Amino acid sequence: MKQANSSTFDEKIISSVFTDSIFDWDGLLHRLMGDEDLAKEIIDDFLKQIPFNFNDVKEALNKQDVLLVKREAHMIKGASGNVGALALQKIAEQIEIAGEEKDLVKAGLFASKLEEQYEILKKHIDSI
Amino acid sequence: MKQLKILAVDDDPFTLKMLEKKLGKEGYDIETASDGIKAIKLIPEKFYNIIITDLVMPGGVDGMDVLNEAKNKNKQTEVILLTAHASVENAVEAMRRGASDYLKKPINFYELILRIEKIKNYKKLLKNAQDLREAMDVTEQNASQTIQQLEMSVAELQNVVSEIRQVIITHSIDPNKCVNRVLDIVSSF
Repeated sequence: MKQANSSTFDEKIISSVFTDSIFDWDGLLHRLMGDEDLAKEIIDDFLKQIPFNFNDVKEALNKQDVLLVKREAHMIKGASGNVGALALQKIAEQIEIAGEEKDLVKAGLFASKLEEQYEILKKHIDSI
Repeated sequence: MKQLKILAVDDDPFTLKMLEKKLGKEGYDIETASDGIKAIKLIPEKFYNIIITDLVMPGGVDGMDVLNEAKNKNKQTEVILLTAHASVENAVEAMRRGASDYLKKPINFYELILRIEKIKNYKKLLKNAQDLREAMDVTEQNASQTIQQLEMSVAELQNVVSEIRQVIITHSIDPNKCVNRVLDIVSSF
């Protein structure tokens, strides 16, 4: 969001902090010993596959199955953490915690943010 | 040393793919299992030098079970455990049960490969020590055989000398006979 009263400098800082926490490309690349081809391949796989896991969470929420909600959220958390999709990882973690607290309303609220965050991630990756 | 056989076990398909591709590119012979249940079906079928397994997996067979199964099958198999929550308690328990290493997720491949190479070097050292021991055994055996043969030769020579002495004493009157007899004894040796 651009605001008329904020300076360009502030905007840059804010946007870099914000985008850094969406996706940690440098971290992924470093963990893969600089193997850019493999990093891209993994990200590609992740972007194709992870929406199916969002559906699994939603189904588990519809079934009111707390254990399943936790398990599916845990899966998304692990996979996101592995590729460096930090913002998605945080949302999945919140769903898992809500599941732990047996608070399915809260879990549902966080789950509804998954797709939105996914679109942000996708745009961000396309811009790299 | 021949190529290391590695089995990677993880229920996260992206981690598993990274392990398969990266370790494959680095020249290891890598196989994968997408959970603990599949892993413990593979373990009895062939020998793996190293098993890299996630600790927490669904389906009732976790990383500790994979570790136990691997060690029961063959103590020579080394196990590296992976976990998102690396706690000291978990690490200690894993080591106590025979794991060689413990690694935090997400996997840093510099770190993982360092640990794989550490295991490889350790195995190489063990093999060198074993080869040396075997070589030493062979050398010792050869030496004792040589000594035995030398002792036998000395005994035979002593016999010859005493026979010659006997001839010289009994045939001292006829030098020709004496020399011929001595030559007979020496040529029969």
